Amino acid sequence: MNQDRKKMLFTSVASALVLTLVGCAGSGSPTSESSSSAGGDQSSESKVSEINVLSLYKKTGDVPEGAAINLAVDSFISSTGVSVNFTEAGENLGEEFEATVLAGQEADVVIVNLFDKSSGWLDAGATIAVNDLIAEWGLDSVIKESAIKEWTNSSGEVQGFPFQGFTWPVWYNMDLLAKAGITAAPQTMDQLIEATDALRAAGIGPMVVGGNDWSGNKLWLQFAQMFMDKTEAADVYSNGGFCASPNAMKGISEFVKARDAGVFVDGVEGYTADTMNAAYYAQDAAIMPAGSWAMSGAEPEIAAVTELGGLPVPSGAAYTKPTAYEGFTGVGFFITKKGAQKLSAVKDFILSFYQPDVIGKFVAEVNVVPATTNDISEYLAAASPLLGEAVSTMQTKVEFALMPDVYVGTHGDALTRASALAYGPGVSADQICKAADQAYN
Amino acid sequence: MKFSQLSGGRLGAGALVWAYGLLLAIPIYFLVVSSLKGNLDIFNDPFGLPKEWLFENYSEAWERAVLGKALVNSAFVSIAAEIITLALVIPASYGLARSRSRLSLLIERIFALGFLIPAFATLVPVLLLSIQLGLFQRREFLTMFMVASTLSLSVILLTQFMRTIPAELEESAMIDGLNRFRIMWHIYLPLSLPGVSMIVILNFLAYWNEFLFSLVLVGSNADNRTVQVALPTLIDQTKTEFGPLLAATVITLIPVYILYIVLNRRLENALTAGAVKG
Repeated sequence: MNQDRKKMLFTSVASALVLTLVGCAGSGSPTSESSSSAGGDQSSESKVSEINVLSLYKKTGDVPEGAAINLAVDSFISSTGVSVNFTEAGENLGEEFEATVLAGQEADVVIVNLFDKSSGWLDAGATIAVNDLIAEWGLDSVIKESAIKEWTNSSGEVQGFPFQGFTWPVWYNMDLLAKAGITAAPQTMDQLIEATDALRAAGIGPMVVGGNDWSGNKLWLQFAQMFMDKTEAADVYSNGGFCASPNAMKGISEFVKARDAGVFVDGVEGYTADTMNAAYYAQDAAIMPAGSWAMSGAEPEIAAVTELGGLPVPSGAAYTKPTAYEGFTGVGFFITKKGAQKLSAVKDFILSFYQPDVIGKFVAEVNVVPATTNDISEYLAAASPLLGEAVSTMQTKVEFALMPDVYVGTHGDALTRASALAYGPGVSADQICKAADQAYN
Repeated sequence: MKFSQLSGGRLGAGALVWAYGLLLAIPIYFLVVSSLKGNLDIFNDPFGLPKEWLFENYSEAWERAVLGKALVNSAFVSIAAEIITLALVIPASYGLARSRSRLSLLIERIFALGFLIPAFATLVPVLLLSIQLGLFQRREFLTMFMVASTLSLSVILLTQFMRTIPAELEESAMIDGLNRFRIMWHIYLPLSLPGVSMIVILNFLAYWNEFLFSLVLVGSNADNRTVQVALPTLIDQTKTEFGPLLAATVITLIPVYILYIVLNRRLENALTAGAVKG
């Protein structure tokens, strides 16, 4: 743990310094180059023989997304004759990309999620806005409007092409709930606390979540916005001010009440998303909030007893139904300034991913909720049954809360550390909101 | 010696040694056993034997992280850095150990100042230097950085070691007509082998396990990346398969362990030889 924190501190400090230098290197030129100016170079582009891609997706070995990626990349290569230097980066993609920008040796296209570091790249001048390109390339009718909106920053610039979305419901193991005498998934906070008591009395863990990482952070933010309308939540998530917002404080108090009532499994502050999944799949816990990416890991017998729903809400909340998340910040394509010099090849590369057969493979084999308007029903049959439920029946049972990632921006990691504090026993609502506000300083 | 003849103190010491040994073995056991399991088995029965022995975790890790190339790259960087470090450290230490001038004292203290600079504080300057030299994302620059990062500790340690060698040996050798280089090579180096072995082990561990600078200076491209940069590519943001990840970790530990076994024996031999010569 200590080693992890040290590494996190190292990478955070390094990344901040590098990003600052990237920004300085870009001074004297506009902070964010518009896509139309980038597109203006298209005609004068010299013959491109290779494009460089830095990707969070992997295509080597037996990985779920391998076949879909290879289908897109191979189709691009065979139709254009341009080779692809595809670098698979791990969770440190952000640090690596920023270092290459500083060296002027960045990739042309970066495939990554829109969260924390990546949400600062356009402002730092490392990537270009794609507002005009979306229409020029005909993707305005392919990509969902709501997805484009999520990728649009406060200046109205679209930061990249949204590709992979998700739904993020709460999973209920109805078998375990039945063993505790509960016959329906809880809809209100009081019912959740009743279910908690019943589950604990039956020796079953109630709700499990990665209190120590991003999964716990999102659940905490779901609590925090229970009493806020989306406008207020967007403001608080963008600028901080949890302590100053009475509605945010009500939500945080509701979190503390749930935590103190034992809603979360014992030792939840030490859990991560991986241990959360394992506890739920092993039926040690009856409830977990998990996104559509986790559905491929659920064995058929677990999927069969799982009902997808939302996080119960208390009376007086801003929502009348349990809440879940949906979003399109999962994975998308960023075009770098270098990529803007090879726009024709970059266009063909990105478009190869938006072909219906490629999207179908992503749905069927990776359980992806695409950010596109395609009809995916024929591919859902091959995907986890939970994905089918998530995009159909579940939609009527829940209201979608505000997905915080876009608004939280580069404060994401700091806010995750603050929310990790919230899962510890005895931490008050005041202490939690102060820690959250500090993430914005 | 019979059991009844053992004193309570020796029994207690023996028990403590065994307990310490077991304590060290627990993480290794966990690592090896977990490398043959799936996620559920790892989290739900961390210390139990695998319910299903997943030997394919090793081939999966090898293929997915392109470990073959990564091991070659790490070996290149580590071995080259070791050779350059020794080539610089041995004469520097010999000179500092034998010289009694104020200048050598000053130089030694400057080397000691190297400890005061936190590693991550040098990251951005080193990155900028690699860019300026046109060596960004080149293993050669990482090798040079590795040498620079361990030079101060290596010089200080070996200087202290060489100071324990009696100066009379050098004086006798000079009377016999040996020049400084031959004295260093034929007398000081053999007698310093325990110290040199210690430096080689410490430095190799530092070179092999270095992550942050390797990531930033060389990057994730499979043709150039080291094993420590290859390993995190097996981590998925949303769902990591820990079996292959731990299998890859076991693979990366093997070269370090082999080096330790080889050098540990030489270190003992050198100690014995040094005692006889001394």
